[in-house]
Amino acid sequence: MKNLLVSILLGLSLATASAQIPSDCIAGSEERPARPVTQSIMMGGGTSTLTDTYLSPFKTTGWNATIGFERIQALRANPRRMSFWLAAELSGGRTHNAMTANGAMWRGVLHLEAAPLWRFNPAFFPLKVAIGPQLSVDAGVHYRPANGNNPVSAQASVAAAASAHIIWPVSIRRMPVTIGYNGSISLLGVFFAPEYGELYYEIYLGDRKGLANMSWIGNKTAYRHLIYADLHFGATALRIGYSMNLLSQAAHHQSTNLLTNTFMIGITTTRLSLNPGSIRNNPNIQLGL
Amino acid sequence: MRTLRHIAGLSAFLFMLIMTSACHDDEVLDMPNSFSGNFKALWEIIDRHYCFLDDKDIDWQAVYTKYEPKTHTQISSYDMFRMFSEVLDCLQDGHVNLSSPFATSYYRGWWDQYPENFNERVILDHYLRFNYNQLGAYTYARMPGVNVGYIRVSSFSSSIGEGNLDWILNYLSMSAGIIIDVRNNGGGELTSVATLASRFISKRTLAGYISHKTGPGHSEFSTPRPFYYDPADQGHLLWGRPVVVLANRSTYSAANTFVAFMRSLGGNVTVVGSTTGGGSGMPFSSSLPCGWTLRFSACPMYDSQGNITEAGVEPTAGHAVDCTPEQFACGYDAILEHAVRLLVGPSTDQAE
Repeated sequence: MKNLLVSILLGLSLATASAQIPSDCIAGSEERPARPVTQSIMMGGGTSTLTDTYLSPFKTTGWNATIGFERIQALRANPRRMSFWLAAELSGGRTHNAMTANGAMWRGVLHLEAAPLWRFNPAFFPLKVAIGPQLSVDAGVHYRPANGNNPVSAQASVAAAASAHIIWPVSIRRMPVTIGYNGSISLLGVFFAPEYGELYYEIYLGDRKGLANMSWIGNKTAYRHLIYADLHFGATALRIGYSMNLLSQAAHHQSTNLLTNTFMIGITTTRLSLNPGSIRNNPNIQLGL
Repeated sequence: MRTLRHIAGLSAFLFMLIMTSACHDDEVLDMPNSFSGNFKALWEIIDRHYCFLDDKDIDWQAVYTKYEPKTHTQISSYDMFRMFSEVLDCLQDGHVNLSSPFATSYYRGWWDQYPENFNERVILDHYLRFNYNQLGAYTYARMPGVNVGYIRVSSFSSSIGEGNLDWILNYLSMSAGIIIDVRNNGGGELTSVATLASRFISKRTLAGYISHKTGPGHSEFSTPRPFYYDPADQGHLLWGRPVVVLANRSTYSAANTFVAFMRSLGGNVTVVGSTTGGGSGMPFSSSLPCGWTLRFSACPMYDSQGNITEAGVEPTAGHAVDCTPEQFACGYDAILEHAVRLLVGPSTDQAE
């Protein structure tokens, strides 16, 4: 079992880590500390519940699969207080009528988010907390093959969100473990939705009226979180986690509701990206050539 | 520990707040998968989305009152399907279908009470003498004995390329005029209609108007928006000589739109035959709790005069022609004969 675990970790490490150097190899100066990058690649599977009334007024249930990437690094401008967060997630799934298990619906969405974060350590608990505004972008489709002229419901949105990240470093049987939470909730933005009975053919003909809809917490709730544990093996960690994605939006008398629950597994690495020009003269670094 | 409990409590409260404020249920239906539940779902979907309830003066509430009491029994899927088909027939719309795993319902009343006015075998045998070219849904030929080109478009479901149309028109380029036969064409893609229509105009031309429902009320519609057809791009053949379009009652949906457009061109374009079948509501699909797919007219289309063409497009004044089964039995297509006479004069009778 242990060998298997080590093999998985090695494989994933090779896939993610180029120029990986433990962060303590290079000491930054007092003014400009080193800014190692912590990044994770994850994948997972789980369940999804989807209702998109543009395609069908009934709830559908099925599976969900997700590939995710996230990256966090101290911000160059203020490395001691701020970080910059980037994440991308590609998720898809197939659902069917919840009552009769027919009427398949497919879903595929790319989610991107970026956020500057302010870090602080609460005095009352050994947590590291970072919060900040976030820009979220989603693009994708819901597809119901049985529908003739309206088989697709395009999903597109840009939103300003609130983002929170909490980590809690602990040890389990001498193994360092980082328990973490990444969450965000959409506050304001714009999302795409055709009018009540509008066909995409009309959009093709040039009818753009009402397609862009302002979103706020009252007509769109987009909340997502990842709760995870990083089990550290040196500079690399095995990540296991639970991801939830909740979307509910309404426009033009129509609504879309999506809930996914996904078990995630992945690899987390911490590495320094080095500038070849500056490291050639650094006596602490020995390059291969 | 107390602080931790506070954090947990606050988190739980926030989570519950999100969950309770999250669910928007506009248009979400939760009828059970029962005879009654499926009927109510079908009725609701049509009530909210079908676009011709007012135009056709259909009392949809009366339909509910009539049929709902019959839905509180246990019946087979076949019987449920038959009853739902009967309910949907009240809409008198060929674009309304119910698709189950074992059958698809069709309203046939829009054509089965009318003369057929078309016999493909008579054309291929007696008029084209089986000497024709086939390109997808297009059959074309130079009619023997007369200087007339014949193009039959059996469907607009498959697209045709601009290059294909160039070949067809070039092949017929020496003809005094062409006949475009869209009888029994049940429609297809409106983009295919635009591709063909673009060969008969020399400038951007108003093709019609389209609108859609903006809410569940029977009269909630967007302002009809004009749409236009553009002539084929430079380098492609345009047809400027006389054109006769042949139509019958089974000319439907996208083919109906094609006839309406060609008729609006006037001039050297004439529509011959009988009134088309209509089908001017762009169909939309939804589903029932049992998983059956329901298709219905959702977006009304209008011709370039702003008239709704759901009841069909009439032939050009003075060119309404029917063809009897006896004439077909004799190898005679009165509609095609009328078209040939229009193009090359009264002296030719093509049928052998």
